[in-house]
Amino acid sequence: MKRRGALWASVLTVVVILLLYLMQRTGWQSADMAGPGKPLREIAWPVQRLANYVGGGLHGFFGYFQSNKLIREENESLRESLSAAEYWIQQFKELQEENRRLGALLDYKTTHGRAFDLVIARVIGKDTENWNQSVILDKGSLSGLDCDMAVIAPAGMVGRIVAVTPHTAEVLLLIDRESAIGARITETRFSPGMVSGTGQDDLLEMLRVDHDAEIKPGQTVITSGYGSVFPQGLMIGTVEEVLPDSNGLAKRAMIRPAVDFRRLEEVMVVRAIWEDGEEFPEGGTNYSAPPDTFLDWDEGEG
Amino acid sequence: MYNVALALITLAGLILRSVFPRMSGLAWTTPDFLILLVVFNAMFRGPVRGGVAGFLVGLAEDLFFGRFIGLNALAKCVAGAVTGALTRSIFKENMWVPVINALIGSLICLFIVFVFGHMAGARWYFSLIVYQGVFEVLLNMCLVPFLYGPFFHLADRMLKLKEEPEAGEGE
Repeated sequence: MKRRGALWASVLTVVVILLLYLMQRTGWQSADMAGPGKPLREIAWPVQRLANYVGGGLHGFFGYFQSNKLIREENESLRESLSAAEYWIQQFKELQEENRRLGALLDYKTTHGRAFDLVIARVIGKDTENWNQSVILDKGSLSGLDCDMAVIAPAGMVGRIVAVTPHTAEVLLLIDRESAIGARITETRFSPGMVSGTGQDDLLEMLRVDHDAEIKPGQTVITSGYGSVFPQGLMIGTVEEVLPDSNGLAKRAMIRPAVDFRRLEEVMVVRAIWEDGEEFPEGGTNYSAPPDTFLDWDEGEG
Repeated sequence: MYNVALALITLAGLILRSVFPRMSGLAWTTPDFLILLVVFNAMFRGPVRGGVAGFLVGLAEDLFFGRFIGLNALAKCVAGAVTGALTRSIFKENMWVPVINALIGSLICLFIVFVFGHMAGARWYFSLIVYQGVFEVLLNMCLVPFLYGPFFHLADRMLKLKEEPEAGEGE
């Protein structure tokens, strides 16, 4: 029994050694790939090819449903990404536009800073009753604003303040029927009368102009400065049309305002006007503004 | 008849293994159907016949793939012999028996292939062997519930296990 066990052990050892030798001879270093296995491969290849064909078809068939699901998920994900990207593009455009507007206001303030004491304010609301053409600003008496102060934009006149609270101010726009402002024709230096609103966003009216006054379409209309509410020389608009008055004794001019009242977002309030020769006070005004009045805009808020 | 069936299953297993990545879309590893065949066979036929069948099945695999001939023959021979010896007197209807046997057989096979492969000059990284091997062993175990039943019925019918429940070494 012991000899039989030893015999088996010897045979197994020899077999393992032989197998190891065979493995080494047929490893990666051997030149003839699959030499001894060629007949078996030859037997198997038609079945292998068929199985591969069928397997590929099955994979493609099931893969279609899998791919379809993946594509739908990817599509959903891409839609979400696109929505987010569109939102950010819109935000970017808004900021770009705001930057442009604020840049224009700053330019104006820099240019006219020696003539006017200006406060920049943002339009935060419009008249909710629809009877008046007015807007609400985000600055009020705490920022030094008061009634009858002129409100302007870089393009020209906007209106005047008619009511203030500590943090807001209501501006009656030039296009309101209740609004009236002394005007002058730039080209002729002639002051034919008052400009008032028509209730429309894009049209003003100059009433009771003398029938022999030199006024014609294309001429520029600016503020005359009469009445001391509005500074003189601010752009109002251009003459669009000159019409005879209903009684035939006078005529009226339709004026296209320089400011686009449908797109008012930031404006400037004229707190004080420095007359020629008057010394411009350090800090801009006698009014002692709270810290957030100028600095927040000048330092780039909003 | 049973041996002919084993040969045909071996050939089918070889072909299936070679086309499995394309069928399943799993390019990284494939289950070793033949180790399952060797383990199942060894469970019914004992360590010696299980070892011999493992040797032949492994040799066929080596010949088919054409590299390191004798490596799989040796690995599957040992796996068949060990799993056959372990399950000589165990109740084979219990599904956990083939699952655990498949785990043991796969690990033995993996170990021998790695050790003797290195001795024969293969340059397999240990991490690759572990990564591939772990997935292969897991796949093998997952396939047992699907393949053991048909094999059990085949063996039951051809080997008449009910009359000879301990068929194997003593025959």
